[in-house]
Amino acid sequence: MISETPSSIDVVDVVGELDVGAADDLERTLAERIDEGRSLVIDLSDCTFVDVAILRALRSSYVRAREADALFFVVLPFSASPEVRLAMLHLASGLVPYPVVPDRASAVVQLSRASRTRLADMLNSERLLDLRARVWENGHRRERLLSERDVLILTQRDALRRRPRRVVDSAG
Amino acid sequence: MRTTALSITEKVSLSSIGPLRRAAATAAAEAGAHDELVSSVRLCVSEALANAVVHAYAGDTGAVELVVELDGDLLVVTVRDEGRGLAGHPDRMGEGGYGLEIIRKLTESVTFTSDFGRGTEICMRFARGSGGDGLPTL
Repeated sequence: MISETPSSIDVVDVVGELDVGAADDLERTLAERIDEGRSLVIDLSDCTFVDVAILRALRSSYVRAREADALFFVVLPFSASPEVRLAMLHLASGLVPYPVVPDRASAVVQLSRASRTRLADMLNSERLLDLRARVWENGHRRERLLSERDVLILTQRDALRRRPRRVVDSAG
Repeated sequence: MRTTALSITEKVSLSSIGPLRRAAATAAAEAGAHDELVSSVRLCVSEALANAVVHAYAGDTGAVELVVELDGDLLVVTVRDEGRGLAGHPDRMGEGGYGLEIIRKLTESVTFTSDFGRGTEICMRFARGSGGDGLPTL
């Protein structure tokens, strides 16, 4: 699904399991938008699976965007599907040279600030790829802990509510 | 002793990869594999099947056998095709060898058997008790 923003940015929601069977369609769709002069935010929040062919399609689209002087960001939440995080950040991170941000708001902020020259080769070192993977690992751990904390608070609140009230007779 | 959790032989095309990937993951989960192992199986089976459809049969349909077995502490997943074979170059798998790299990183061991014109067998062995080697907790 593609939603157009008032500026020259398109947000593309990639939903469900995507593999080699969808790679050509994805690349074609993104190429059309880039050729129309649009910058792209690819949102993988609701994507549950990607394979190497999809990562290759995204990388080709990023290269095409760079050549067209368009911007290209991918949104990958800390809570994204384990397989998508594993493939993009650990197993095939060499196929992910483009900027990855954890939410759409960050993408929009970064897009408004981005300098094309700075973006050009921003993720070309193994150290940076490793750093990015660790940021996502920690982000995911933090979100999981916060969610566990919320469950604990609700459970305790519920337990307190159910506890029988003790009536104190102050009359003596 | 080896027990078979899943054995499917069918003609495959690009659209078969998803259902077969999910079938292998379900078989692994029902055999007691933990979540991380199921994710690993899903990723590896997908790359092995993509290899069969894209390289072995060059985009045409062809028969693929997918077998999931339990062998002691190992989960053994085999993908076998009757295509043109990798002719001794398993690194042709996936984009720039990334498909093979993913399988190597997520398995205890992997064996490729391939002769030109006689198909390819990819036998992937996963440790049932641990996640991927050196990979983060998902």
